Amino acid sequence: MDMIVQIGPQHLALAEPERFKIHTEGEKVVDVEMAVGYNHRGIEKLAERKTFEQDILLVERICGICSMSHPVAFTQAVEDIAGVDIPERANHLRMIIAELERIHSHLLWAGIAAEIIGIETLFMYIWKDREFVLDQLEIITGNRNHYAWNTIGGCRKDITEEHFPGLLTAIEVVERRTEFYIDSFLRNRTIKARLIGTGVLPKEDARRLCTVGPTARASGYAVDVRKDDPHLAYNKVEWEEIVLDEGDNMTRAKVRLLEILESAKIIRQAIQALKELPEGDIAVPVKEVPPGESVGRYEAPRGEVFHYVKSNGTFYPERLKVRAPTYANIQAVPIMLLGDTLADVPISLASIDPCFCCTDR
Amino acid sequence: MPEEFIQKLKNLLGKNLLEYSVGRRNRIFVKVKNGYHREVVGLFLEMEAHLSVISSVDLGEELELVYHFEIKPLQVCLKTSASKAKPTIETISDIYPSAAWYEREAMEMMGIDIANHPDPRHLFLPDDYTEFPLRRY
Repeated sequence: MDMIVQIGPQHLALAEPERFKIHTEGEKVVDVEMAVGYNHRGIEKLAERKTFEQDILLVERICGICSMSHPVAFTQAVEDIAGVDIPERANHLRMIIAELERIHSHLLWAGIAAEIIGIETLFMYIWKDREFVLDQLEIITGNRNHYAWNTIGGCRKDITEEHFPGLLTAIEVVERRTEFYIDSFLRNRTIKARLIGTGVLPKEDARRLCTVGPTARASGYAVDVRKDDPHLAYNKVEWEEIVLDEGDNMTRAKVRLLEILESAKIIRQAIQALKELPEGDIAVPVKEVPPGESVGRYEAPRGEVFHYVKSNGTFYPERLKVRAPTYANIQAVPIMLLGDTLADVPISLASIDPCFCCTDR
Repeated sequence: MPEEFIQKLKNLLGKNLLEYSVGRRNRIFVKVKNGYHREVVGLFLEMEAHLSVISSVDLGEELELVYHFEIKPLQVCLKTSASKAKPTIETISDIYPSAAWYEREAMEMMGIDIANHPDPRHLFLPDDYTEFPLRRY
């Protein structure tokens, strides 16, 4: 008999309000309807009423976890319109914070996944180690989230000699612990039973629906803005794009955990580059933004963040369009859920690392 | 590379390619006559383009849709516009299924009438909301 199970808007399985209407036959999911918009704050409209400088802080608040991604995408678009190149040092500074953020976001996801599977000890362990990264972010930027690190034309603060030892130690600890977590995910029987073979997204669908980020890369669809549209200093460091083929929940977990190791690699090289670069300007002044338009793209932990900025020569943007990664990925969720049991729905939903407040803006 | 790409579009569209420009970092902006965007999107599908999002812009007299594609290594913004009195633009969701949600957003926020859309309900706004909040003029 067909039965409808409502998940959300308020539900234990979801951290944020969004509604999923799951049609089931017995335990099996046969259809999924989604309703978004419970978090709609009208940020695109609000941005038109604020100056470019104020908008940096506004777009930073679109997301509480990836609060580096939106300002970088936005400032890159505005810098394109103004025709300025930011200093090399600022590119590296932005990249270090961006990769630290990727590490803490992926660890956060791994912890939540462990909790959903039912292993709270692993959740506690992972979140304890995430604190090392958050501490470094706090020491460097002054805040655990919402760093206010960017300005149009560069960065607002510098990373100096005194930050390097702590940063390198934290990276080393996190790297060692991540190897342990990869081992736990691959060997623990409960985790394997819950993740392997569930929530499968075939490559063809990943490509057809234009998914982004780890969700796409775990299905063998190689999209990574860091490689495809090089920004910051990503083309000056050596790292590997993690692309795996299976497309199930376990693969998405693997991609994220392996990316932590790649991020650690990038940060080490960026620190080395900072040591070699001459100390100097970390921002160039931008007096005005001429009429024009441009596109800012940035690889956030969850996938591509996209900003389209149109300016009309005043201090206020004419139009700001924001596309967060979950907006692209969530349309693939029904394909992941169909045919699985109802008990797999929470972990499959979490496997795209959804951020609904980004999606709704 | 951008020049070759624009030449390709010129060959396909002729005078229906209204304007084009090349920005920094491989950004390309192309405007085509309303109705001809589907041909271009079909070509992009053959080139394995990645659809990032669709933006809607209020130009005053006209309403504009901007389709943001990535054709490695180019970032292409394909534009088409319709008059505000009759803002009808045909859907591309049969070519790119993920466009369906972006078009729903353009419909509710900017009041663009997307023809042949498979599911023209509101996406973010409540169902009984009749204003178009992102219109400027």
